[in-house]
Amino acid sequence: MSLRVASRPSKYLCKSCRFDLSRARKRKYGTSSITSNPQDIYDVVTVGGGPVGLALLTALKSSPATSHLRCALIETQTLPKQKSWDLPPDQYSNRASSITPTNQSFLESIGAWKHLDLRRVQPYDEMQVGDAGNDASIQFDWKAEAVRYNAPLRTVATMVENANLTRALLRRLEELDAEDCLLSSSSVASIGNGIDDPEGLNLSNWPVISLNSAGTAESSSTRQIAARLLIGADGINSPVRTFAGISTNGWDYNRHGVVATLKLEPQPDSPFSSSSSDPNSALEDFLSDDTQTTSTSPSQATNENITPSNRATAYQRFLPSLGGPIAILPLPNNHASLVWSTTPQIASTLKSLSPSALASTINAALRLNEVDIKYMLSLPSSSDNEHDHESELTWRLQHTPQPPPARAPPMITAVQPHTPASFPLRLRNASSYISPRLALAGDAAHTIHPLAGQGLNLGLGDAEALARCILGSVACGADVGDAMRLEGYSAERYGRAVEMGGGVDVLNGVYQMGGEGSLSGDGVVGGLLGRMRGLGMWVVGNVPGVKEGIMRRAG
Amino acid sequence: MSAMFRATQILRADVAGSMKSMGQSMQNMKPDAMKGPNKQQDTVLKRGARRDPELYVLLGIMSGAFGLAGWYFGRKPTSATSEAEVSVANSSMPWEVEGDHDHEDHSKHFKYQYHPRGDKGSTKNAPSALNTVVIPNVTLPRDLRLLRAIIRAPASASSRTITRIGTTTTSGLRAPNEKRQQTRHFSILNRPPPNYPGHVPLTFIERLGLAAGSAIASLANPRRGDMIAALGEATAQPFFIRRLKERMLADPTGRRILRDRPRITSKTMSLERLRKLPDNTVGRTYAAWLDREGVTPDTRDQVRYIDDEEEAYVMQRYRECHDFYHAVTGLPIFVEGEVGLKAFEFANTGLPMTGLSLAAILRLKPAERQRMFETYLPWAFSNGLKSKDVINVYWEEELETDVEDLRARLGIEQPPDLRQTRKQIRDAKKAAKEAKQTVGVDGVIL
Repeated sequence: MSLRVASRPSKYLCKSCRFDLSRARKRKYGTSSITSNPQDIYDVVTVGGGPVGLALLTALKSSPATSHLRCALIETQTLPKQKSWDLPPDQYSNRASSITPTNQSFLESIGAWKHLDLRRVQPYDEMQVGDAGNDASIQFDWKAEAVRYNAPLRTVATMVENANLTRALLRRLEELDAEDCLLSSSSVASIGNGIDDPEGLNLSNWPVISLNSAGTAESSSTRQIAARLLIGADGINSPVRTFAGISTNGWDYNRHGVVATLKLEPQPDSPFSSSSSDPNSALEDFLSDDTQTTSTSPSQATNENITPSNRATAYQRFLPSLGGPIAILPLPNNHASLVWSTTPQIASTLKSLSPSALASTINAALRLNEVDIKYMLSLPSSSDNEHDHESELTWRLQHTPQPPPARAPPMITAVQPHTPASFPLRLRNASSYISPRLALAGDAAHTIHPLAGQGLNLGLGDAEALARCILGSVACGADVGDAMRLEGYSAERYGRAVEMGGGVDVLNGVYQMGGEGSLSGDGVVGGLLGRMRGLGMWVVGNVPGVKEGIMRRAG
Repeated sequence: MSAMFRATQILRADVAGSMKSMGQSMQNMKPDAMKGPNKQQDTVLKRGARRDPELYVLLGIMSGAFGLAGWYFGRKPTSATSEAEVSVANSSMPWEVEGDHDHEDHSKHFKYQYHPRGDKGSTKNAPSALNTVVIPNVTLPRDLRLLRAIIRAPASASSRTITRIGTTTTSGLRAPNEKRQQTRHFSILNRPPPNYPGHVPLTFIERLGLAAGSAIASLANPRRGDMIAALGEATAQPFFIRRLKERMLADPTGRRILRDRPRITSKTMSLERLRKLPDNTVGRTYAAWLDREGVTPDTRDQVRYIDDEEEAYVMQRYRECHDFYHAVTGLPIFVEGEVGLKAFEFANTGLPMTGLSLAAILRLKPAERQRMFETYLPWAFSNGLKSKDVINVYWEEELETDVEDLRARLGIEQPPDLRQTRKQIRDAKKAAKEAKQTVGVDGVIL
C-alpha cells in the first residue's frame, strides 16, 4: 500500500502506528472519524488552561529541546482577558496561593517568574500555627538555620494571586511566540480514539478531541484534533480522566473553604522588622556592643538574642469544634488572604455577614475561645445590631489570655467587598496518573485539603515532572506518548501526591477530634485529646530535625 | 519489722540446720548428702531474697540516690553566668594591661601600638590578634549601654572580655530588646502579682496542700464554711471552673451575667423589699428561707485562690447563689439538707468540691443516711442532670416570678420537705416515748 506522505507530524509516526492492528481498547467512548489533515495532529495537547496547564506548556516551549513539539492548550475561558487582568494596588483577588521555593525556582527556570507583578507578591518567612483547644503553638521557619549560619532568613513560601500567575505565564508564552498554541474559548465536546486509516495514518491508539470553539462571530464550529500525548489538567471533574476510564478514590469533607481578602492593621515596627522607626537606631547599630553572646562553640549559639528580620508571617489556627483551621496568609501592603475551612452552615453564615461583622468574627476566630466564636456566629447579622459583634469581641478580648506580641495574629480592620466566597473541600486521587498517550496533572490527578496550601504546589510539581519526562522522551527519540516513558512521571509524582494528600487528611482529622459531632465532644475526652495534640505539636516543634524535615519535604 | 526479722530468722535457722546436717554428712562422707544441703541452702536463699522486704527499701533508696545524681548531673551543665571569676595577678596577662604610657620605658609596652595617619604625637593600640567578644552588662538600661559603648569602657568589673581563638564573632544582627527580660519561675519566694483584689496565687504544691487540709477540716466539722469554700477553690482549677465558665458563656443569660457582674450582698438584695413581695415569688421564698434559717446574704467568703479573674467571679456567683438554690429546692440548712443540695449541685455544675462534700454522708446518723440514699440522692442526681444550668439563672431578674414557674422552667421537682419530715419523725418519737412512759412498762423511764 502506498503511504500518503503527510507533512512533518507523520514523520514521527513509527511503523507500528502505521501498520498496527487495533488492540483492545479500554477507552470508553466510541471512535470518531478524523481527517488525516496534518494540521490537526498535535504532539502534546493539554486540556485545561489553569496555572498547571499553562506552566506545562511554558516549560515545553521554553526548553530548546522540546520547543519544536507541536502543542495545543484548550481552555474554555478567554485567555486574552486573563492576560489583561489588572487590579488597583489596594485590591487583591481572593484566589491566591502560596508557592513553595521549589516551584518558584521552576517558574524562574521557565522564565515566567519575571513576568509576575512582584509588587503584588508577598514572600513570607514564618508560619505560626496554633490550636484553639490548648496553648500549644509552633512556628515553621528557618530561623535556626539563619542564626547558625548567620544568613538571611529563608523564605517559607510566597503568596501569589492565581490571576497574577496566569497572566505571567501568558506573557511568557507571548514572549516565546507560542500564543498560537492556545485554543481559548474552546470546550471539549468529546474525546475518542482515532481510526485506523488503511491508506494513511493509524490513529486508533491516539486520543482525538472534538472541540466546540465558541466566541467567534459565526456559530460555534467543531474541530477535531489528534494528540500524540493528551494531558488532562482540567480540574477535579476532568473529562480527560473520564475518557481514560481512570477511577478516583476519595471523599467529600463536608466542609467549605471560605476565602476573602482582608485589610490588616499595620503592625508597629517590631524589633523583628528590618527597618526601625527609632531615629537613633542607625547610630545604635554602629556603636552597639550587642554582639552575639559568647558560647563555647558556634553550634551552641543561642538564638534567643539574635532574631533575623522577618518579612511577613502567615498564621493558622486550628478550631477543632468549628470544622477546621482558619488561615491568614499575608499579601503586600497590609493585606491578607483568608482561607477558613469550616462546616457548610458556618460558611453560609459567614458569607451573609456584613463586612464589619465579618471582620470582628475573623478577629474572634483568631483570638477567642471556641465558645465565644460559636456564640458570635450565632448572633443575627441584621443591620440594626451592627455593632454587636464588635462589642462582643472587645469584651471577650479583655478576658481571654492573648499570645505574646511576637506570636499574636494581626487585627483585621476590614474585609474587601465582594471577595467573600466559598468552595467545597474534597479529597480525590486518581487511581492512575497515566494511561497510554495520556497523563493527568494538577487537580485532575489529585485534590487535597487546603490546610497546608499544597494543592497548586503539587500541580506545579506535576507540570515540572511531566515536562522533564517529555524532554527525556524527546532526547532519546522516543514517542512522547509512550506509556512506558510516562511511567517515570507516574512513579515520581504518584507517591508524592498520596503522601501529601494523606498527610494533610490525617492532620485534618486529628485536628477535628474533640469537636462537635465527634465521639469525644467538648468534655473531658475532648480536653484530653487537646492536650495530646498540644504534646504532639510540642514534639514537632522541639525535637530537632522534625520541623525542618517537614518543611523540607513540603517545600 | 517483724516480717524482716522473721525472714532472716528462717534464713538463719535453715542455714544453721543445713550446716548441722552438712556437718553430719561430712562425717558420713556421703556424696548425695553433700549435694542435698547445698541445694537446700540455695532454695532457702532464693526464698529469703524474694520475701525480704529490706531489699525493696534498699531499691527505693538506691533509685532515689541515682535519680537525684542523674538529675543533678543531667541538668544543663553551664549557663552564661556559671563561670567563676578567677583572680589573676596583675602581670599574668601583660597584653591585657593598659598601663601608663611611659614612653621612655618601652619594655612596659606590651600592646602593639601604632601612630594613626603617621601622626607621631599620638599612639593607638593595634587591634588584638586574638578574637575578642565583649559581653555588655545586659541589665543596664539601653541608653546607658549606648553611653558606655561611646565611652568605650575598658575591661573592668562591669564587662568581661573573653577571648576565643579561631572562631569569628558575628555581629550585624540586632538583638531585640524584649528578650532581655527574663520570666522568673513562680515560687513561694517569688509570687506573681494578684489578678484581682484579694487574689492569692498559689503554687501547685500549695494548692494540693490546701485541698487536702480543707477536705479533712470540712469533713471533721461540716459547719466550717470557709474550709468548704477553700476546698472548692483549690479543686476547681484548672478544668472544672473553666468548663462552668464556658457553660455560662454558651448561654445568652449566662453571658449577660458575666457582662453585668451582679453581686448578691445584703446591700444589693434588700430583704425588706423581698419580704414585701407576694408569697409565691422567688424573692419572698428566698427572704422567708433566710429568715427561717437565720442567715444573711453576707455569710459568703470572697474567692481568693482562683487565678483567672473571670473564673473567680463565676465561683463567687456560684457561692452567692447557693442560698437561692436552697430557696428553690426547699432543702434546709442542716447537714442533711446541705448534703442533698450539694449532690444536686454536683450533678448540675460538675464542681468537684460538691462531689467531695458527699463524703459527709459518713457523718450522718443511720436514719438520715437511709433517707439520703432512698430519697434525696436519687432526687438530686436525676434532677441535677436533667434540669437546666442553675448557674445561668439571672436571680436578680427572677425575684418576682412565681417559684413554681421557675421550677417548671428549670425542670426541677421539689423534694419532700425535709424539715417537715424530721419534725414529724421527732413528734412521732416523742409521742411514742410519752406513751411508753405513761404505760410505764417495768417502771423504767425510757
